[in-house]
Amino acid sequence: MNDSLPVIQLHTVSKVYDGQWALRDVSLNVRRGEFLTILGPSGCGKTTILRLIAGFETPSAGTVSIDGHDVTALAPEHRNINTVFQSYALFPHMNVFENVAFGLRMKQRPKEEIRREVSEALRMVQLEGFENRMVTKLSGGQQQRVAIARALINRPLVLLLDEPLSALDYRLRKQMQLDLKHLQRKLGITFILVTHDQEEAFSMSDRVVVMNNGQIEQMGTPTSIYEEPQNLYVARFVGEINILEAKVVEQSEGRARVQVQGLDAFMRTKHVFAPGDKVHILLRPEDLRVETLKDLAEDPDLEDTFSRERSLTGTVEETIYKGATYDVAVRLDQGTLVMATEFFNEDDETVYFRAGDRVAVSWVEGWEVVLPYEN
Amino acid sequence: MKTNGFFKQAVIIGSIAWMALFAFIPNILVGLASFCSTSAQNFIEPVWGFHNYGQLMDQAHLDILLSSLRLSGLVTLICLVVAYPFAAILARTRKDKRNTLLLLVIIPFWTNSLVRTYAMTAMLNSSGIVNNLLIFLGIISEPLAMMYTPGAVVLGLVYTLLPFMILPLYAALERLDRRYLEAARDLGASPWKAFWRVVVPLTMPGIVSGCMLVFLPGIGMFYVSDVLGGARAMLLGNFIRDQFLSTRNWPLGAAASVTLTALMGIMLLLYWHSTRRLGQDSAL
Repeated sequence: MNDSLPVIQLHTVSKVYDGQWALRDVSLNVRRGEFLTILGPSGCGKTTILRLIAGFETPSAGTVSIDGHDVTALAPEHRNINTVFQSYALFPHMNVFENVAFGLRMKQRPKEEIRREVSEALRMVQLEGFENRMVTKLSGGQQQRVAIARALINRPLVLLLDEPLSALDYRLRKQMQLDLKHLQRKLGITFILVTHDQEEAFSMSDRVVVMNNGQIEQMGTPTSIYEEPQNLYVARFVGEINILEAKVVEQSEGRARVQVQGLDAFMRTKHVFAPGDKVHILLRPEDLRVETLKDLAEDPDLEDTFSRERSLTGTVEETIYKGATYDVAVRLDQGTLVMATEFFNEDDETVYFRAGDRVAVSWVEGWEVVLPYEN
Repeated sequence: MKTNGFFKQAVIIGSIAWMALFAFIPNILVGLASFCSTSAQNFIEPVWGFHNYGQLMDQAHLDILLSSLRLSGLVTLICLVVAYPFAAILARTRKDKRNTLLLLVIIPFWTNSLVRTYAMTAMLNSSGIVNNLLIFLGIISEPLAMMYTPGAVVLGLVYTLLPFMILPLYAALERLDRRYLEAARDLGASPWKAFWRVVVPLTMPGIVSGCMLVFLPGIGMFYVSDVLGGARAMLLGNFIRDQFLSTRNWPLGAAASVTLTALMGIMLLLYWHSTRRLGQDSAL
C-alpha cells in the first residue's frame, strides 16, 4: 500500500439538490491516518461531503476515490468506510451486543470470533458488561460510545463522524473530544469529523477544512487557520477578531506601509499591494495590549516595552468579565470599536480598566493579518 | 371551570355507560349464552355445560373454522404483499403528492362496502367487464366462471380490506428514520438484508396491526362471502350468522362468536408483545 497516496480523494465534486448547489467544484485530499475536520455553519455542504464519501449520495459531477480506486458509483456496503451518525442511529430493536456485532454478522464471521471482537470493541469504549442492555435505555454518552464501537469493529479505512458530540452536554463533550483524539492516535485510523464548533475542530484535528456555501474557504492546520486566515469569512468564523479598514501607502519586501485609523505603520504581509489599495487589518483580541495614557505618561519603563509609535488611542467603553480573562471594549478615536482580551495580573485580581479611561492599544509587529479589501 | 368539570364528568360517565350497555353487557350475555342449551320452546335454555364448544370441535365445524382461517390468512398475506411496497412508496413520496395518494386510498371508504361488493359482481360475472375485456382481447373465447368461487371471495375481501393494511403500514414506515437504513448499509448490509434485518423489525407494530385489521374482519365479513361466494358458507361469520338467523341455535352461534373473540384476544397479546420488545408505545 502506498502511504503517500491520499486515502480519500474528492476531485472537482459538485452536488445539486433541487436546483441548489450543495457543493460546488470541491477538491479535497485526505491523508492516511490524519484527523481531518470539516468546519462550517449548517447548510455549508460539510455533511454532503461526508455522505458522498460514505456512499449515501452520488455526486452530480466529479469523482470520489478511496485508496486510489474510483468509488463514485459504489454502494455504501461495498466501501471500507464506517460512519458515526449525528444521532447515532443505533438500531432500537437490538441490544448493545447485536448493534456492535451487526457489521461482522453481515460479513458472516464465525460466532466465536464475533463474540470476541464485540467484547474487545466494548472494552475499547469502556462499556464492558453492557452487552445485553437495550440501546434505548442508555445515556447519550453511552449511546455515543456504542455507535463508535459499532463502526470501529469493522476496522474501516476511514471513520466518518457527523457532528457526533452535538447532543452531549458541555462537560461530556470535552471528555469525548479527548477520548476520540486518543482513540484516533492509538488506532491510526483516518478520522473525518464534521462540526460547526471551531473549538472542537481545533482541539482534535491535524487539519481543518473551513467551508462556506458549498465551497472550501481554507484548508490547513488549526494554527494556520487561526493565525493566518486567508479571507474575512474564515477570520470571522474562527474565534473573535477585530477588523480595521486601512489603506496601503507603499509596499516593500514582505511589508506594507499602511494607514489605519490615523496610524501610519509597517505591517507584515505575504500579499502584494499597490499604493492606494484598500485593505483590512485583522487583529485577534488576545494579541492586543491596552495601557492607559496616564500610566504610559507616568511610567517610563512601560514606555520602553509598549511600542507607543504603533498604537491607536481610544476610550474604554466597557469591560466584560470572563472568569480567567476579561474583555475591554475600546472605542478608537476614529470611531471603530475594538475588543482586547486581558489577563488578570497576579497581584491585582480586579478589572484594571474603567469605562471612560483614555487608553492606547498596541500589538507586536507581525501579529496582524493584512487581507485584500472585501465588501 | 365548574361547568367544565361537570362536562368532563358527564362525557366520561356517558362513554362508560355506552360501553357497558352496548359492548360489555352484550358480550357477557353472548358469553353466558355460549354455555347454555337450546330447545324447541326457547332460544336459550339455562342448562349449563361446555357442550357447544364440544360441538364446535366436530369435524364439520372444525372444517368451517379452518377453511375460514385459511381463507382469511390468504387474504391477509395478499394484502400485506400488495400494501407493503405501496406504503413504502407512499412514505417516500413528497408531501404534496403523498396527500393525493392517501386520498385515493381513502375515497372508496365513502361508499358503503356492501354496495362496493355488489359492484364487484358487475365486474366478475360471466357478462361482466373482466370477461368482456378478456374476450375482446382474444385471450379467452368462453367467459370464465369467476363468480361464486373462493377466488371471488378472496378478491372481494382483499379489495375491501386493503386500506386497513395500507394505513398502519404507512404510519409505521413514515415514522421509520431513514438513518437506520443508512446505518445498516454503512455496516455492510445489502438493501435486501437491510430490509429484513432493520426495516421489517422496526415496522413490525405496523405489520401486526395491519394484519389484525385485515385478518379478523376477513373471518367475519359474511356478506362478502354471501354476495361473491354464493350459497356456500365459507367464513366463520356466515356460520355465526346462520346459527342466529336460520338454524336458530343461539348457544352454538354464541360459542363460535366467543371463539372468534378469544382469537382476537390472542392476537392483541401478540401485538402488545411485539411493541413491548421495541420499547415503543403501542399505537393501534
